[in-house]
Amino acid sequence: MSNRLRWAGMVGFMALLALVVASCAPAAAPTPERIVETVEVPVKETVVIEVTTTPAITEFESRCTYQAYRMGWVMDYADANNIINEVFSPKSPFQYTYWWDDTFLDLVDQALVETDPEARAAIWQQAEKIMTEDHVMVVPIYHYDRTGLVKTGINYEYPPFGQAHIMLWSFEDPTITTMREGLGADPPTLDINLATDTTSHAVLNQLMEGPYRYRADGSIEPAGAESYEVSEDGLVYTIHLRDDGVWSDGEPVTAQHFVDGITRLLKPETAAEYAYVMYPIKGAEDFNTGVTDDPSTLGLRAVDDLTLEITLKEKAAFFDSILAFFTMYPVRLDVIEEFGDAWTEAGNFVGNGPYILTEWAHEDHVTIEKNPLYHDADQVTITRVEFPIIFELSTMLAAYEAGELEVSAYPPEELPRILEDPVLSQEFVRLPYPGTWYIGLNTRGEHTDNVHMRRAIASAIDKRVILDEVLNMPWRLDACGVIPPEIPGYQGCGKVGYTFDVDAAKAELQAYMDEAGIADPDEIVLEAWFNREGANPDILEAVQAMLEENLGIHVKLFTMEWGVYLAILDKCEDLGR
Amino acid sequence: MAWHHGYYPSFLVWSGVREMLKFIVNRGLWAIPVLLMVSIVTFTAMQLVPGGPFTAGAGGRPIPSEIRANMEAKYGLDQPAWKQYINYMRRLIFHFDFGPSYRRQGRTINQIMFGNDFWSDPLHAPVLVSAQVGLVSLFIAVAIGIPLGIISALKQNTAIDYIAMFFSMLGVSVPNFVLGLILILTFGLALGLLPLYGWGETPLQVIMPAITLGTSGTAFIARLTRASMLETIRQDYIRTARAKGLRERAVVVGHAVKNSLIPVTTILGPLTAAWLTGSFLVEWVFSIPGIGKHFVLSISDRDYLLIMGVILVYAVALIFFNLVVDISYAFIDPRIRYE
Amino acid sequence: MTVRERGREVGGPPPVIPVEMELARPSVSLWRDAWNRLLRNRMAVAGGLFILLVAFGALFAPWVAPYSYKETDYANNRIGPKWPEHIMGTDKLGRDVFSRVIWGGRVSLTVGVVGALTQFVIGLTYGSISGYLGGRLDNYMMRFVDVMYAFPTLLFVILIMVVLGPGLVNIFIGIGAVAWMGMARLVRGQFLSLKQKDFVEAARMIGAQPLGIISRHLLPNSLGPVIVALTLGIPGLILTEAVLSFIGLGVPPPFPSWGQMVNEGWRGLRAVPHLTVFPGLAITLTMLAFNFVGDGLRDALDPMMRGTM
Repeated sequence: MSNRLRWAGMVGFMALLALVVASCAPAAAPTPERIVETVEVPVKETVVIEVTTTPAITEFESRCTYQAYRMGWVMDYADANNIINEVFSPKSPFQYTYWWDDTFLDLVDQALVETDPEARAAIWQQAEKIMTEDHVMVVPIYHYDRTGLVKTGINYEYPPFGQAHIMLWSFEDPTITTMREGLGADPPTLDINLATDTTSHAVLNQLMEGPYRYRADGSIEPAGAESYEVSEDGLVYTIHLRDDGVWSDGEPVTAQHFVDGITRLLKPETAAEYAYVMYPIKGAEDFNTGVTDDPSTLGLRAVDDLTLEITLKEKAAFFDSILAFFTMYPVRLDVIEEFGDAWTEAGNFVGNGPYILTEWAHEDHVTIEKNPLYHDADQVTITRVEFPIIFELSTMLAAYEAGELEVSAYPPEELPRILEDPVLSQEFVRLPYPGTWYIGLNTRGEHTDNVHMRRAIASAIDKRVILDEVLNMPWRLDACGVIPPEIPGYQGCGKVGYTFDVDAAKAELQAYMDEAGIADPDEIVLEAWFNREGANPDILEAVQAMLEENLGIHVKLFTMEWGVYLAILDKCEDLGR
Repeated sequence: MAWHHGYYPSFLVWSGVREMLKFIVNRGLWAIPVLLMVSIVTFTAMQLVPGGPFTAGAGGRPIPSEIRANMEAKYGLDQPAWKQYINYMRRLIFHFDFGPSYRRQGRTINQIMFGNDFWSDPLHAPVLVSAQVGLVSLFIAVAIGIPLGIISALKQNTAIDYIAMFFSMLGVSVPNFVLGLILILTFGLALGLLPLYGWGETPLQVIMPAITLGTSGTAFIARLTRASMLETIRQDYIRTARAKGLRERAVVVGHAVKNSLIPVTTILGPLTAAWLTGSFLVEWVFSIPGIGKHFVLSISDRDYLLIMGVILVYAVALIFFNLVVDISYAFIDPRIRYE
Repeated sequence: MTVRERGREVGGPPPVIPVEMELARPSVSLWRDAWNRLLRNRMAVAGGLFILLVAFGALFAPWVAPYSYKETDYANNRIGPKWPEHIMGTDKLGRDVFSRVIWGGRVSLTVGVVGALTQFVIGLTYGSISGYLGGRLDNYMMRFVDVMYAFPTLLFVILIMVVLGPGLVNIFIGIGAVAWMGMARLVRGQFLSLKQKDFVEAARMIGAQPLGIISRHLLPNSLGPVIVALTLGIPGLILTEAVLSFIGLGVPPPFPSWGQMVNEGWRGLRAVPHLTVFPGLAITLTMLAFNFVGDGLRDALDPMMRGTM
């Protein structure tokens, strides 16, 4: 055989091999590359010039092809406004379902000004019914709780919102005064107005004190303040601070510090993520969005050193709960000015809480120690807390089992072993942590624009199996509504939303197919998008299997990284509005 | 000739120190356009990645667009890309300032990479922490890999050869994170011999990370040494030397090892650069405060300037170690000629 | 048959073979000779057979695997190896691990082979152009490779994957974009050294076209080390896929890949070791197999060994 022939033969063989192998490969998921684009696309201009005409919509249809997306929400405070309105309102930027209902918006307005808690809860329930039964744009799957490991011999306490207050903890053995808690990451920032994630707050919560704090049952109790009153019209909150509040450098805490704190939070230059929580305050939204740059337009006033007056722009019944939220923290502008960006480092940080920041070795560990000047310092028994930073949960669990940590998280894969281990199962903690894990449905998507299809999906998912078998957390509650059990207004499965019912699901699917003229469920293909962190892939795979088995449709899963996920959803939102 | 396998770049002939200095300067000058290109490519890639540092909040929630606009304005991200690039390069070249971190607000990239007080406490600087782990790993890989390769080559196709190659292969094919966890669970938890994680408290903390990182390199180096030893042994001139009657051992030590070090040295360049700038997997599993984690995490954080920073540090390390490698060729074999 | 007609010059004087022996020896071409020698290498043969076994399983997975890769069975999830229903146990959704390992071979082998091919095509083209033309163009082309080399591989792959999105094809693109450089350098080095050989000079003097020279003389003679490098590079690609899965940029669920399976199981190493051990073994053994085959190829193609076995 001549060289050339042999050469051609070899190339041909390799090409054939490649073809064969490649044909075996799973059909490459149609990548959302058509959705990804450079940041410079003038999206805003499109929306301004052509508000509801076809080009914008077709762009939306061609790129935002998801029918289902996954999200979770953990409550910030004890009112359903946080989830029903702030998350799911048709006007909210946090949902991507493109639904709209005028009755719902009216109900929200009513609830915001209704002061009687029972009446308010009833209004939220009505709103929830509209969401989950009339529109079915959300399929709640389960309600969160807080889990972790805490060594026996520690009296611990976790509020339902935010992080623990270690000053309320104690060791049974009074000779032990140091506690070690594993931190899963280096706190991105300890700046009072900028910290938003649980890691930062696990530390910040010990260093700072707002006017109130959350009790274990979700109600608020005095912390930095003694009492407060609300005016008749519900617009003016007068908060009386305690007279022995003091900063860690000896300066007394005054109402002006609180005014400074909230003002700095709302300043556009601070770019604080949670500024929106304080929008009920008069002038807050304008100030934060740059409409005005005059802080005196804000409804904040230090009447005297110990009296803080907050004026709302309209009645907001849930604002009581916000008094314990971390957006109310006071701030020392002089300290920030003195140290600049380094003011949050150990040694510079000044807080009014029970602990002082003594060491912060970045990416390595954080150490805090008891603040002797704190007004209730004699009640703080744990005088030193060390937070080693351990990124990998398996390593953290190993350290916990080796006795190097008192408080730890765990990787979900180890849960079965933990629950069966005689020692670890006793140290496993489960506490309320109101929130809901849900799947949102795109009301403009192909197939899911029909309410029968959405009802079918809602009825075809066996949430108990997901909790019992996939997550291995049989104590968790399956969710049919979005309001979590600990929040007033909670209605369980059976009272709101759809429960798992295969026959009902099939009937709804049939109703949809009749309307749409589809003969075979096989032809229906849905796209479910989700971010791949945590146990999401497992849950979504289970959902996919259930929908395919129970309804006979096809579900394609798209997993992407959290940042990409939100970016695409946001871009779709810009296009779709 | 058998060693022209293209594994290694140009060779040099030196007649003295002056030549070496000229060579170093030449390389140094070449480094500048390379680094510039690297920075431009990286910067462009940043613009292509969907989402920005402020799309997803650190709290895990989406950020409303007005607030995001505020944050982007604060860091100048609303300016056109080329302007941002010019500003960045200007700050970097004239002030050695890598810019602020978008994710860790209030901290600068210099602080993240070089630590808060570099000059007073250099050993705790993340860059040097990664370097320390890398150095020990390198030592393990070379100290075990090269002898292993030599022995395997000398006893080719015997049981020793197969066993050695098998075990070194095992080191490579077990993913780092699995190996790391196994080590933690055995030597840390079950036996209690070594500290489980962390850095800076005792020198023992370097052992498990270095073993985890080093095993993959050991296999590679062992195989490479073995392969090039085998080739060199088959060279005619070795046959000639044997024919002259030299003792076999002298033949091996004198000629074969030295020549087979050349391909090994070649890969040691990039390998050193990669290991000394930190391995993500090892630093993640063992919680080591180096810069290795940032090679992966900075992307999901979209901390643009941190990405730029670590890429540039890596590029500089690579150029430097390739230079060291090229210089060392001359000492290994003075017969190597400039191509 | 004389040395010249074998179309390949051997470095150094040919081994001294008595004339009678040379005439008595049947004539063999380079490749046939290499093939024979490869077959005599037991480890390489074993490796090759293993790869064929895995490939066969992957190709005919729908018939070979006892279960589907996505069939869930919540009543029987997380059980260890049980004969005969689940010889490798089940994962947390109740899917049979053995079936998923077989199916997973598709992804891992495809990543390895296609990755190698991508490297081969891009690297070969680039390197041969650079090596053949030489001079300034070669210099600039290699400088470009240097710039590419200056990127940390993992970061670069992640960047590409984040931009392109998930999916098997994008994994190929991502890996291919990073891996071709070594191949380019290798080929270029080969071309540079072969270019100066007498037989190439001779071909040029006869007036052969550059393309002809490349295809008839340079390429075939460089192929040896190229093939060896490719085969030895495949294990690395398989491992890269595992690392990508660790970061979360692997193949989207529910389709299994060995890397994805190891990633799902390794944190539960103490609770459910079978979820890590079996896909891990698959990775290890396949990597070993490719390494043995690669070594065998290298030995088989080494010109020095010719006529000595």
